[in-house]
Amino acid sequence: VTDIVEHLLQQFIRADRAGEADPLAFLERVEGAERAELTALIDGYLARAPRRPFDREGFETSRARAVTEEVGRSLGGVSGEWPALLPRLRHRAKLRRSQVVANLAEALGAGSAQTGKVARYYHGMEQGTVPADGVSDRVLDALGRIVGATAEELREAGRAAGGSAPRGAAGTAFARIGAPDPEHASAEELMRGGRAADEPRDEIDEAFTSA
Amino acid sequence: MSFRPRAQHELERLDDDALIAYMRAAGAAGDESAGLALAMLAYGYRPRVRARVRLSEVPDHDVDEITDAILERALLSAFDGSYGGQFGSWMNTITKRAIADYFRRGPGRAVMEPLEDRDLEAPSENAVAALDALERTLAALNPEHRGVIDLWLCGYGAQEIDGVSDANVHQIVSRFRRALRGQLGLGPKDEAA
Repeated sequence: VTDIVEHLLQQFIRADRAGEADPLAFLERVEGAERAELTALIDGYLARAPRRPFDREGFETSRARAVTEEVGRSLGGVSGEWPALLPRLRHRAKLRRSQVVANLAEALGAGSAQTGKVARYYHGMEQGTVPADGVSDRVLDALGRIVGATAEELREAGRAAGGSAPRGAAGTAFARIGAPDPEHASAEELMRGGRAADEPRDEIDEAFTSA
Repeated sequence: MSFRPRAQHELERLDDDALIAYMRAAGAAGDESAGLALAMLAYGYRPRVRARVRLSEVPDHDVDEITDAILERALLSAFDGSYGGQFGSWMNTITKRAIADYFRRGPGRAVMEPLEDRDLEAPSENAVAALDALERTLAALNPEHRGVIDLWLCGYGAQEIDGVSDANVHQIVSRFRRALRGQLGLGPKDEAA
């Protein structure tokens, strides 16, 4: 004989094994002491549940894809944890990449012709292709104010990540396995306005590559 | 030692720690299956982490962000020397800390530093404390009874738990739930509702 709490726990477990179950939908069916007990029991199940079997199609449309890409870029790139951290901070600040670039360009005193270059460097920081050591405190100060972090926190994140992950090989090994982030398209369009091959090095290059 | 790439169906059979070891080896060898192993871990754990964040009463608009921060921290730690094995348990630790950080210091800090304050206890006034009650109750059981409860929590019925009679399973579960309600400050079940 099972009571309502055990019954709902078992229902939740079945639903979770069949797909993605929302625990709150089960908790809504009880209240008070029974709800508190069911919360603890469902959490106990979730803490013990094995990982879900991989489904490539499901992965392509899940948020796990973005997490994988960001972690992969952190492990395989030269920008520390920036590929994982910067998009997260940007989302928290409710800013699109193009807005961060515009604000950063303004803060750095970039002229309109230099905005594409700022976009290219910022995009590289999110992609893990701009060496963290080269980015100046001036850039990190300005960026931190835009996304809500301190320059020191950003510097620390740039140093971190990967640890023992082998850089050169890992860059290939952790290559993206999903479709491109739609927001990348606009960033790449913006970057096309960036530095031409014969364009001289200027203060924006200095700010991002010579700290 | 030479690296041998494995197919998806082979990777699927690996437990977490073996999959992480493979991911590191594949990364070192520059093999693209490292990305697949990473994807399998992120995809495999995200729903459970998200459900735990939901249970802890993190507001809806922050649930996905906190979930992703937890996953990223756990996956990156597989390479930074802080990970000591048993990925599921490690993920649980990070989840608990990130949720506690969320309620203590606000969403921004939880996103930035989910591993800050390693000894942080969850504040008693929020749902995180209730989630801890189960582990405290389990810790007080003897190993045999803990094993029974672990299986029961994983969805095994009394008939599927070897070496213990149905009646004893029901008795162990019943005692455990009574103790859990005590930890939760709820009193006996028949007085609770």
